[in-house]
Amino acid sequence: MIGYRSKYTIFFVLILSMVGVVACFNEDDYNLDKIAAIEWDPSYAIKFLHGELSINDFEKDLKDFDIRTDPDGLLYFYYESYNESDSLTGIVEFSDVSANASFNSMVNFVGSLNEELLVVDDTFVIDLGLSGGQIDSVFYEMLGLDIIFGCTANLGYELTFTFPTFLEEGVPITRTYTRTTNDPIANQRLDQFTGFLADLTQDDPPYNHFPIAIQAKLLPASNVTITQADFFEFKFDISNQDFNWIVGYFEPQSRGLSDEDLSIDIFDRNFEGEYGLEGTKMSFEIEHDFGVPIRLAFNTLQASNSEGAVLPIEIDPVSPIDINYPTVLGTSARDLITVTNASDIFNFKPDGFQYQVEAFVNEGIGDGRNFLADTSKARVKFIAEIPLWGYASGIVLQDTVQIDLQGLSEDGVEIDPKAAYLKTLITNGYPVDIAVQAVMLDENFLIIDSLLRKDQTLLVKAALTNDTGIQEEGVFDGEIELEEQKLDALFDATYMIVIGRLRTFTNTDGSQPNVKFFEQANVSVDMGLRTDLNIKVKP
Amino acid sequence: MKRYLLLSIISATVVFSAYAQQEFTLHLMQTIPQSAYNNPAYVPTFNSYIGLPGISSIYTSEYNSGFSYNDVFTRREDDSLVVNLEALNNKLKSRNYFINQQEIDVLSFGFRLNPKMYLNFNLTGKNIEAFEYPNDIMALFVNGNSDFIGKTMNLSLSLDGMGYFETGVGMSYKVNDKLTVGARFKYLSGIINARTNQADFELFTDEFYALTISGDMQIETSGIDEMSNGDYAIGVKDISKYFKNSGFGLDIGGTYQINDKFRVGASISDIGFINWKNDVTSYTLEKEVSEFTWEGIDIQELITKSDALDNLLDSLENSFEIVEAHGGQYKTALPLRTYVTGRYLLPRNTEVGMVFFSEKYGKIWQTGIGLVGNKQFGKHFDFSLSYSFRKNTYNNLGAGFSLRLPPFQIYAVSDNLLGAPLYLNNIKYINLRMGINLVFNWNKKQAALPNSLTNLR
Repeated sequence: MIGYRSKYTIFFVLILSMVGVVACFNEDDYNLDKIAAIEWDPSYAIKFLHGELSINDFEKDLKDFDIRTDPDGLLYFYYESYNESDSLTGIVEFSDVSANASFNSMVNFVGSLNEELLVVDDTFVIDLGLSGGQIDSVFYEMLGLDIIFGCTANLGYELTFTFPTFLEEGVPITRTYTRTTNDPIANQRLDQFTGFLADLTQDDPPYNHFPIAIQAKLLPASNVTITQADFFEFKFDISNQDFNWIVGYFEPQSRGLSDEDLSIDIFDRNFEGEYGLEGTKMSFEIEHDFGVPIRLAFNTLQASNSEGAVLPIEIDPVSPIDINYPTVLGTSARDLITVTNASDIFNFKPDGFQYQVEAFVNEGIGDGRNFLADTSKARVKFIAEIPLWGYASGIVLQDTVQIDLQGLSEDGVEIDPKAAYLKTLITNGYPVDIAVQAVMLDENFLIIDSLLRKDQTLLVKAALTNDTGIQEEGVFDGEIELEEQKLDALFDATYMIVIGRLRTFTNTDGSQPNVKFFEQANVSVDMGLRTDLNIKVKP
Repeated sequence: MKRYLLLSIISATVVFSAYAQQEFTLHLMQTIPQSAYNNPAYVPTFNSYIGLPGISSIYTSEYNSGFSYNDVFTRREDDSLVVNLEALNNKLKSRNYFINQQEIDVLSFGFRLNPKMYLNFNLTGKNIEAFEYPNDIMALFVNGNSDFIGKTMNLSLSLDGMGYFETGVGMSYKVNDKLTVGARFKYLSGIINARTNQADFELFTDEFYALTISGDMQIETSGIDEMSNGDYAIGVKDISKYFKNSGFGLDIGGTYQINDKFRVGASISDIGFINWKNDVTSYTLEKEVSEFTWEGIDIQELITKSDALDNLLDSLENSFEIVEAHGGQYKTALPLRTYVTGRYLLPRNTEVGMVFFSEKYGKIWQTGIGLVGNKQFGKHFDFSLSYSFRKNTYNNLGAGFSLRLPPFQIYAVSDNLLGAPLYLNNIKYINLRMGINLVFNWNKKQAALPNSLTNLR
C-alpha cells in the first residue's frame, strides 16, 4: 500500500523529469532557417575530351576538296571541276526538206475497168539537205513525212510509196494510200517513221540522199477515162528529223567546246598562311564520244588571283592538240593534258581559272568515215592534286564553342573555382608543331581573357617523318595549372574560341624541311580537368 | 518517371522511419507485460492484462551509425547554424546504416491459465527499414574524386524494409522452480517490402580522369509499384490482398534460476519469414551491360559538329536501363533477434543485470551490451536505469518506469531517453516504448523476488 504523500512524490518526480527533458531540447537546433550556409571544398577530376583526329576529319571544312591517299600512303588534296558539252553533235545539221514530183500516166484507157491498172511506176530521189557532212547512214529515232498528192483525172486509185533504203528491222518501209472519187482532188497524208536505219548511199553523190519508189494503180470502175496527158503530182515535206547516230564524213569545222571562268577559292581559302608544297599536279582530262579527228585549241588558259593578277597555265602537249577519238560507236576516247607549271599556279593562290577550248573537226582532212550519236558529248575535267608534302607555317585552325558554366551557379549556389589543372596527353603523328590556346569571350563576343598564360604553351611537337612514313611521334604529356583569374573568366564566358597554330617541323637552325603527311597518322587526345572548388549553398 | 517515384518513396521511407528493435532496459521490468516480447518465457506480475487498443504499446527506434547532429551542425556566435560536410564525411565509416523500426499494438491481452502457464495474445503492426550506405558516396560529394584517381570508389547501397501485421499467441510454462520456458507463434501478413539482393555500384577514375561507372543491381519489392502508381490503399476492402503476403514467425525463450540470487535467460525472436506474392516487382540492372565510361566528348564528334554532348548523355542513360519485371514471389526472413540475460538480485527489491543483444536484418548484423538496474517500489511503481553500447554508440543512458494505479498501468521505457536530453545532439541511437495497460490481480508470488531477499522487503 502506498501512501498519498508517496504517490504525489512519484508524480512530482515524473513531471519534473518530463519538464527537464523538454527544457533540454533546443528547438533552434532543428530550425533549418537558422542554417547560414553549407560550404565545402571538393576537388573533382573529370575527363572532358578524348579521341583521335586525322586530317580526313577536316574534309568537310575543305571547300570542294577531297582528301585522298596515293599508293605510298601520302595524303593529297584532290579537286576537280567538270564541264560537259554537246556542242559537237551539231556539226551535222538536219533541216526540214520539201520536194515536189510529177508523173504522167503511162496508159490511155476509156471504158469500164474491171481490174486494177498500173498507171505510174517510178522512183524519186530526195536530198535530205544535210549540212556539215556527207552522211551515208543515219539511224533515225523519228522522221516526219507529209505527203500531198493529187491527179488530174478524177478517178479512184491506190498509191504505194516504197522507201527501199529506209529499213525497219531490215525491211523497206512502205506506205499505201487510196483515193476514192468522193475524195478531194488533192489529198494529204501525214506519217511518222520511227526507229529505222536510213542508207543514204544509193544515189549520186552517194550520201545525203534517199529514193522513194512510187506506184499508182487505178481501181476498178465503170466509165474510166485516162490519157497519157493526165499526171499525178506529189509534194513531200520531211520534218522532225531526230537521229540516234549518224555515220559519214564530217566536213572540217570548229565548235567551242568549253568557255569557262571557274571561280575557285580552294587555294586562298584552304591554304592560309605561308607554305610551299611539292609535287602539286594539275591537269585537264579530255574525254569525248565523237568518232572524228579533233584538234583542240586552248584559246584562253590562265589563272587569276584575288589581287587581279593573271598567270598563264602552261600545258603539255601544247595547244593545239590532236586528241584521240573513238573508232567504235558507243565508246569514248580520253586524253590527259598536264599543267606543267602547277606548283607556280598553287603558289599563285588563284581564285579563278579561265579557259576557252575550241574543237576543230577533221582539220585538214578531206575524207574519212566519222560518226557521232545524239548522246555524244565532250567532257573537260580540270584536276588538281596537291600532296601534303612540303612546309608550312602560320596556319591557324580555330573553332568556336558555346559554353555555359554560369549555369552551374544557380540561385543560392555559389561555385568558386580555386584551382584547376589541365592534364593532357597528346600524341601527334603529323610532322607539324601544334600550339593550342583558347580565348574566352562574353555574350557580345568581346574577349575576356585567354585560358593559358603566355608562358604556358600547350605545344605539341611535330612527328618526324621521312619518305617511308612516321619515324617518331610528337608527344605532349603534362599538367598545366590554370590561374584562378582565368578560371573566373572561364566561368563568366559565353563562348570560347579554341585556336590551333600550325607550323611544320622546324630544324634547330629555324629552317623548315619538306615533310610528308601520311594516311596512317593521327593526333590522339586525352584531356582531363582537375579542379578545386569552393561551393557555397545558401538555403 | 515511375523509377524516380519509386526511389523517392524508398528514400522518404528511409529518412522518416528507420528502426531496429533492441531493448535492454525493459528486460528487468517484468511488471510490464510487453517485456515478454523480448523473451516469451517472461511472466508478467499480473494475473491478467488487457492492452488498450492502439496505445498499449507504441515502440519506436532509430539508429544512425554514421553521424550525430553535432557531427554535422555547428552553431556560430551569431546563433546561425553551419553545416559541416567535411566533419560529417570524416565521421563516416566505410559502411554506415540507418535502421528504423516501429511497432504498435492494435490489440493485446494475457492471462494466467494455471499456476504454471501464462497465455498472451497480440495483434501488432510492425515496420522495419535498414539502409546501408558507404562513406564513399559522401566522400564523392564532399571531397570529390580527385583523391581517388586510379582507385575505385564503392557506391553500393542496400535497402531492406518491410511493413507487416503480426498476430501472435504466446505461452510461458514453468517447468519447475528453476526453469521457465516460453514460445510465441505468429501469423504474419505482409503489407509492403523492398529487398536488395544486389546493389553494387562502383566508380573508377583513371589517370586521365575518365570515369567508369558500373552497376549490378537486383531489388525485389511488394506493394511499392502499386504505391508509385497511386493504387495503394489500406481499407477493409483492400486489406484482403495483403493477406496474400503471408508468413509465420516464432519466438522462443527460457529463464533459469541458478540460485536464489542469480537468474539467466535467453531468447530468440522472429524466427520466420514472409512469402511476398502481392504486386511483386523486381528492378534489375544487368552487370554485363551496366557499365559506362565517361571519356568526355569525342574530339572527332566535336569537329564534325554533331550534338556530341547529347549523344554522350544518351549513351550514359542507355547503359543503365533498369529492367522492370512483374509477378512471381519471393521470401524474406524476419529480423532475427537474440537476447542473453543475466540478472542478479540485490537487497531492497533491487535487481541488476546484463543483457547481450544481437540482430541480423538483411546484410546488417548488429550487436550490443547493456547493464540494467531495476528497483520496485511496492506494487505501484518500479524504476529502471540502464547503460548500453552498440557499434559506434557508447553514450546510451536508458531509463524506464512503470506506474500502476489499478487497473491502469502507465509505462515508458527507453534505452537512451535519459541521455538524450543531456546530449541529444550527440546521440546516434534512440528508442522508446510506452503505453497504457489495464492490469488485474497483482500476483504477489510472481512479483516476489525469488529468494530470501524477499523477506527483507
